[in-house]
Amino acid sequence: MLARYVARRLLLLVPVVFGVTLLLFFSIHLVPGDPARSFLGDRATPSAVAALNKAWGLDHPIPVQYWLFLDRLVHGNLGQSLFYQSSTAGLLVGRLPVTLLLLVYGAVGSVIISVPLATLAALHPGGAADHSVRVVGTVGIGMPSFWVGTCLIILFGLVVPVFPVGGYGETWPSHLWSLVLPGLTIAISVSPMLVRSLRTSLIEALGSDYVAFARAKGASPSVVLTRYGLRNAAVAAVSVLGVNIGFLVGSTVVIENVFALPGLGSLMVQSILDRDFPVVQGITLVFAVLVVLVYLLTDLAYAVLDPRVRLT
Amino acid sequence: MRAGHLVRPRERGPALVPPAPSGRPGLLEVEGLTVSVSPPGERRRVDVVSNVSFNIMAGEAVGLVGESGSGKSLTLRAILGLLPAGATVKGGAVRFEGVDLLSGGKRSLQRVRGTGVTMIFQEPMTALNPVVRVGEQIVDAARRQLGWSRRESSEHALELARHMGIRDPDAVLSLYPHELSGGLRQRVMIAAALACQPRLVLCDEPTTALDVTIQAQIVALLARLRQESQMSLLYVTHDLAVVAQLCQRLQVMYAGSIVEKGSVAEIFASPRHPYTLGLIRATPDVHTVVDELTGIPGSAPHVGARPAGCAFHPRCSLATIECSSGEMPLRDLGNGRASACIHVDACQSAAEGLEAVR
Amino acid sequence: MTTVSAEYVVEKAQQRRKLPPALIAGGAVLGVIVGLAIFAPLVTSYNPTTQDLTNILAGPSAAHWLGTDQLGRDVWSRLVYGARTDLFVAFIAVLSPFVIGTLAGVFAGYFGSALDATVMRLADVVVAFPFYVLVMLLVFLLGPGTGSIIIAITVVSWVSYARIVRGATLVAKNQEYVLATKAEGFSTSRIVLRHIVPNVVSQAIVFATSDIVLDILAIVTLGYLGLGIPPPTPDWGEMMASGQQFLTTHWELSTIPGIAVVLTGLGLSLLGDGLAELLSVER
Repeated sequence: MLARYVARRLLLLVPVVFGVTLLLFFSIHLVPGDPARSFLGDRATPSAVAALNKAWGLDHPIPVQYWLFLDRLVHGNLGQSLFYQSSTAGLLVGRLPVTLLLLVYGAVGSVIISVPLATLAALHPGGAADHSVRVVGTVGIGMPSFWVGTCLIILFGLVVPVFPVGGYGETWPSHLWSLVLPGLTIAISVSPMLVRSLRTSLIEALGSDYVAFARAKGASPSVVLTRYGLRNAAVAAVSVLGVNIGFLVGSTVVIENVFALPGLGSLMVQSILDRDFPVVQGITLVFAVLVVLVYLLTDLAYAVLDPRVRLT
Repeated sequence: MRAGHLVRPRERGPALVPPAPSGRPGLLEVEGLTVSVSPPGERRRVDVVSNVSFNIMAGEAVGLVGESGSGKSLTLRAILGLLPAGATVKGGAVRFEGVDLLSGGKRSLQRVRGTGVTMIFQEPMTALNPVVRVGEQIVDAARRQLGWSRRESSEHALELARHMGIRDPDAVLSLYPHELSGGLRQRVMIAAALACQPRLVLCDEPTTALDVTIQAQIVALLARLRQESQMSLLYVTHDLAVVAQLCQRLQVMYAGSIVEKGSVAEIFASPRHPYTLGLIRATPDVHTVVDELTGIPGSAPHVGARPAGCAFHPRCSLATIECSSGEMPLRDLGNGRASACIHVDACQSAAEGLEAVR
Repeated sequence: MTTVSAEYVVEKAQQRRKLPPALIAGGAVLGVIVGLAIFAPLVTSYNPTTQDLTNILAGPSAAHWLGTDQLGRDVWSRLVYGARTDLFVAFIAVLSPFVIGTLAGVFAGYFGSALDATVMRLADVVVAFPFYVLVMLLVFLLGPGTGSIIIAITVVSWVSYARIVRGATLVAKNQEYVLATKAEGFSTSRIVLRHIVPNVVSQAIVFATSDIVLDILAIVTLGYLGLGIPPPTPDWGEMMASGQQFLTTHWELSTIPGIAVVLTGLGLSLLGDGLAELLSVER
């Protein structure tokens, strides 16, 4: 049954994936003027421009171009980087682990921050703790993530120097250690949103009949909070995190730049500044695939956590 | 394991205390209970349960009857400290076996819930946790309170389920609430409520959400369980027919106050409040289940818009000018009966017409 | 019964007159910031782009309240003029997706079928991209500048408005009074404009107050990454980026503009909360 559910979900993704490739394909045509000329710069020779146009297949009619584009994608070919003069796909594969690891840090960190705060707020709605959490959240939602990162650098890098404030290190332990501050930054940026939704669903769960009945049965407060409150709110939390994956990825892109981490985000910004179109296009594709996969995983997790979701 | 669990001698705790001897006030005493809420979007607080007093003896079944919005469900919830957000107890006392539950804080409530008093809700679909298997929900609270092992709890769950007349309990207990029929869900909730062998069960319209035939089965189940275990019931409903089947005593609530109380037999034979009379008239035959009340003109007042004087007077055919002002306390009529109506005699003669119709 | 409902109406009206405190607080904070931005020439005594290389990285003084930056420009002037730039761009960047998304949502919700399917599939494609990634891609393709930023944000954020408004429209079009006007033979455009739009637009407005916070963050972030409004136009993001090289000696250069962003965001969030309360829209 689960397999059929997955198959159906995948089928629903077909139009989205089609749309994503179409948008990425047409992106080059959004560039004002001759794209190849635009990316190579004014000093490029006409023959170099012509060569690039040929390499990108821009001398073909549009439907053929799209076909060639899809054909390249299917073969894992994202083109040749203009700046690095090497395969874009290879470049991205080398950078991907940093970004993925940072995403995991951010997601786990935001859950560690959000769940206690949301619980504190939801236990006594309208109470002092609830108001404090709300005020912190309202301030937090307007904080630029890179500014949070800057403040953390000042605090933990300069005032109380405990964590490395930039770079990725050479060894695995130093990799993991150097991601602490960036991960914390992402977690702090994502948390206000997460706390807000979690608080709402936890209040809803704690005010429900099943919690009242659990209390009437004589279930202890800790059982009521965990098995009845948090367990049900977790279902909501999963979907909130899933829906906000785009936001999480966005923060990652920015934060990699703040902490000079060699991930996809810093490569994307650098490539934009270098006008390296194939790399920018490739990274965008990777992020879109990542987001779509997370949406899919969220649906699956939701189906596993909530037995009411029909697996048909 | 014949009929098992529920009739077995109690093993621990205050349950060993024998039923209250006569002369003692009773198992549950509610005294001057007042609950207030804020109407939606307003700051002011209004009383939705005002000055409600009653008691329940060990082994007794008492009906609490009224239309929706009369405050009967909030009365039940207040007893167990389960008022929804926004509703608060403004005054009064609730004592269970002499222990005050309102001023005693969370501890005393926690000690009484489950083993002493428990509650069955109207809608089992919302009262059961949608993401936990029903087998676990039947015993999760009892397991902690009575210190059952994992194996013991699953045995107890099976036994309870069987005792509630659940066929094929092995299969049912591994399902989730949404996979069960309404009747089965209600049996599961009753099993969960009775897992700790409480001495008093508060029932909040437990059959209202069910089909007519299932309603009869659940009422029969409750009657049987009560006989077997000598537990007391406080049964909230708007259905007089159910009260006739289950209860010895009856109290009628209107707009947050008790307007009449007495034995079921006497009140049915000769009601002493026009509202009760209207309710009985609306029930063609107390052995027939009706879906909703008809026959009383007008509708119950909205929260915060309680008329002065007798709250029922705008809908009452016996109302006079005196009914529209002043306090209308319950007046003792002797023989355990009381009414808040100042025209008890007029009501009695109107009720004789009722007999004639029958 | 009639007296009860009349009383209720009176009470509701009395409540209306009292504005939610969040609305007042948010309005006050935002009012000060917008006021400073509008009257920037009056509250500053330096041109925000005039360099004074003889007086760089000076600390706060009577002449330069917040000191000067690495090119000797007055930080207070840049902060105030930065508010001008960023608030203006954010305002346009929230207005255009608001209009486009609301219209798309109303039409998709009201007419349904193929139009609805197309709009919603398009929305699915847009949300498959992380917000910042798609905005950065579009700014990259269209070239740097205010116009590109506004177009990029519009392309990405119309989706949220469309989804919210479409949902509200689906509810509204089945309301009895709408069905009744339909039965009376009113024209479709009249029904949509007079009955649907006023009912669904409040939800879009409330969303816009939280959306504009995200837009300001996006504009500032683009500036920080060097992809935003081209220098020397003062922009909070660019200020924070250029201050970062002096973190060890002049940490205030990159933190002060951040505080300005946070205060602006706070004012807008409070305003949004208050507005939601006033219009009784769930946030």
